[in-house]
Amino acid sequence: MSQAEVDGSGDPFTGLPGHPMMWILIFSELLVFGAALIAFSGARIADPAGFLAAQNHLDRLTGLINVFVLITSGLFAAIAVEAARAGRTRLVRWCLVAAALLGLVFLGFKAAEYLREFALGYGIESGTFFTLYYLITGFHALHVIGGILVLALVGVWPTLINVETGAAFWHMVDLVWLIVFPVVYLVR
Amino acid sequence: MNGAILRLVKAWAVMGGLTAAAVFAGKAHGGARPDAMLMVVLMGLTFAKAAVLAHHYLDLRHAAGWNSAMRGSIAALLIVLLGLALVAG
Repeated sequence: MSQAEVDGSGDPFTGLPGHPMMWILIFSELLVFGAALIAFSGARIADPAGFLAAQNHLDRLTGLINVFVLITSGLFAAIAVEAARAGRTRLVRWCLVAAALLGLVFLGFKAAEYLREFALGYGIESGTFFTLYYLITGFHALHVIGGILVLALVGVWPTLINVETGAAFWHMVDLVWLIVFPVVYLVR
Repeated sequence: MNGAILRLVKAWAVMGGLTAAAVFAGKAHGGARPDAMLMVVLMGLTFAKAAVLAHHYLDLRHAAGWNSAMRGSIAALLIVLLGLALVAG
């Protein structure tokens, strides 16, 4: 066994919080959402007027509120990591609960937005814009649901590596929304 | 630990401010046709937010190579998206 294998020097995952496999997942997810957003932006080239008209029916305020909901949720998840490093398990759990509850708030706003669009007659088959809009935001919402489950599991077993790993997944969900929001709601 | 929490709250405030700036830029434009400068501003603000999130929330402060890789990946994606938006305009 070489010295590098013994002391871990040269380990590409040195310095990363949480389980290394989570970081492979995070970069994979960024690739998937990146490809979806490139498809969305590419489709806009074929029908810019149609995209603009469809985009005007989106509720920007709800999208904006959800940005603040997720970055606030991310704040609690990040504080949970610091609390885990300080060995304050009770604070870890409270922060994870707050982060997960804000995730539910995000889903509530998203559901309300979908219901409003359905009521206006805009479903997944109402043109390319809405097909891609529902696919991208729906896939992201599924990740929020998955993230809430991860935070709940981590809250039950709040070891440092579990908290770091769960929080990293949650921040990835947050990061994706930070990019989805301007591309889908604001770029015109 | 209080110092760490203060740092995270500051990061939250910066991301909130950048988000508000992006919405303000979008509202201030308000035109029917795309505007190249608006696109550049929106993507720049988005990159700044993502960089803050990667550094402080994802805690890549102590993994310089991964931090650069994350920022580089996001920058590359946003440049492609910006290019497509400009072509669409």
